[in-house]
Amino acid sequence: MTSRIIREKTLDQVGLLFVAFVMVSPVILFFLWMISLSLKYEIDNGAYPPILIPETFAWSNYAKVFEENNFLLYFWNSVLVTGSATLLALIIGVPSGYGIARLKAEKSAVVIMIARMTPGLSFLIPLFLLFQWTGLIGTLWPQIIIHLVVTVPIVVWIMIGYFETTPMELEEAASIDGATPWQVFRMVALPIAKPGIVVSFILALISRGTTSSSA
Amino acid sequence: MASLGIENSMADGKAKRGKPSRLAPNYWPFVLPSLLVVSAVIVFPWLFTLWMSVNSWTLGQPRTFIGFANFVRLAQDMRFWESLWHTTTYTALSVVLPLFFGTLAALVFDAKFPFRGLLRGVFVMPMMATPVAVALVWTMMFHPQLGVLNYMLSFIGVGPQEWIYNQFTVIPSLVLVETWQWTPLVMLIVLGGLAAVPREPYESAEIDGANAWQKFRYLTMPMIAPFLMIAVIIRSIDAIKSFDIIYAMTQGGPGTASETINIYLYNTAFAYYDIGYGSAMAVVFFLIIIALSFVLLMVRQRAQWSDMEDR
Repeated sequence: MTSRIIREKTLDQVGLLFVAFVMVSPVILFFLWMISLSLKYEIDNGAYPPILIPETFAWSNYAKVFEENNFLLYFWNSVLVTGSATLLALIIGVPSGYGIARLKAEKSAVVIMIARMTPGLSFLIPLFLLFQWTGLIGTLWPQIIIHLVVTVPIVVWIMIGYFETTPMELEEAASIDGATPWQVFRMVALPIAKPGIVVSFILALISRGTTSSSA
Repeated sequence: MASLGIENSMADGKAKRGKPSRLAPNYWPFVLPSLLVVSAVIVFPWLFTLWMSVNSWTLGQPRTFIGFANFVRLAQDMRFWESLWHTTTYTALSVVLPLFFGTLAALVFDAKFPFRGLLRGVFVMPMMATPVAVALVWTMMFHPQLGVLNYMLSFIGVGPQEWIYNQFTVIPSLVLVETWQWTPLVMLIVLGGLAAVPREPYESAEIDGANAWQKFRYLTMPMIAPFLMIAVIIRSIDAIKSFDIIYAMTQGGPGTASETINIYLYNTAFAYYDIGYGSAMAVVFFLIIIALSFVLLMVRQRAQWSDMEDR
């Protein structure tokens, strides 16, 4: 009896493993093929039937990326844009998440949320013209500013959620002791909300990576 | 994912909402910077777009006020109606398919089996990849003569397909990529829902002799319905705005067979520099998105009410 149950369980597990493997196979296929493409010479890319593992690896493709395309500069630019957009979003977004949570100003929150729903291209036309007039085209500022559209709402909304759950009592005690609102925020609310800041930092970073359309 | 937290926080906020006390400190200085940034980056462009939509203006030429002529032109523009139809099919398919496969995947990954963590990690990888790189590799895989997909199809006796190079298969092919990339998002959301499902109802259902399908249909489905709804909302809004993958793979082609509103809008504004007409299109597109969001939110609330009545 028990051995039958055990056997059925292992059968279930093997079945599940199989199904899961079928599900991840498109992912594996894609990434294998991506690596394969990156390691093949042009002549192997044109081969039919397609070659997954070429006879000679074109490691030079990677060297070329660094030599010809100024890859390091682009990479550094991406780091600069991502970093500054995320940091600016945190500097602007965390206090305002706090303010909105304490004010219970849901209307402000909705205004900020509309940014998330706006099709990226519709604010691209005016911003494009604006950057042209101000001569910022060709610098990294347009990209940073455009990414703020996406990152600020995310940070604000996550921080509202966090500050609403942090206890008010501590803050009230601090303000009775004569702390200014800024001090309360800086010394009491901010340290409690650290996990929230980390979460919004990560989400802002990821969401930035997937909004390349605006760049 | 972000919205999950938002829903909860809104609910919390409502539950313990009270009147702010008179002595409450002034919090507006905290909010001001973000409101300023948001209005500079969003409200200003919006007013500008609205103003441009009632003007005729091609970049480099003088601008003239023409009232609603742009909108009239839009209503008569067959290319716009076609793009609207493309957007509709593309969005519908890119919501339904990831939802189906994502739920299925979540059910599988909710069970316990060896290597689950590893496989789940692999499964969510597409979500992290950048759309342009994804588009590039898929374009090569779709190649009609040399692509690896046609090669694989030849094993099961299916003739070569033209994928994104044929006006009839281009949208399904693009949806395939979109599904490939965004099924993991749905999976994660639903998995979160499944984690919150209690064990007890299943035990009593088993005692009552319910089979697997009945358990799924009458227990799991109603309990994860709110999460499915969140997935639908996020997915619809993302899919209707989808740009990167389509633009990088087909630029709306062949011909205009995969031109969604977003692509047409982009071409009008940045290829033909017809800013006025492009702005009118942006306004209409925004209204469509707002309407869609409202419909979805309403459906969601209705769903919640009917849940309450059932219980």
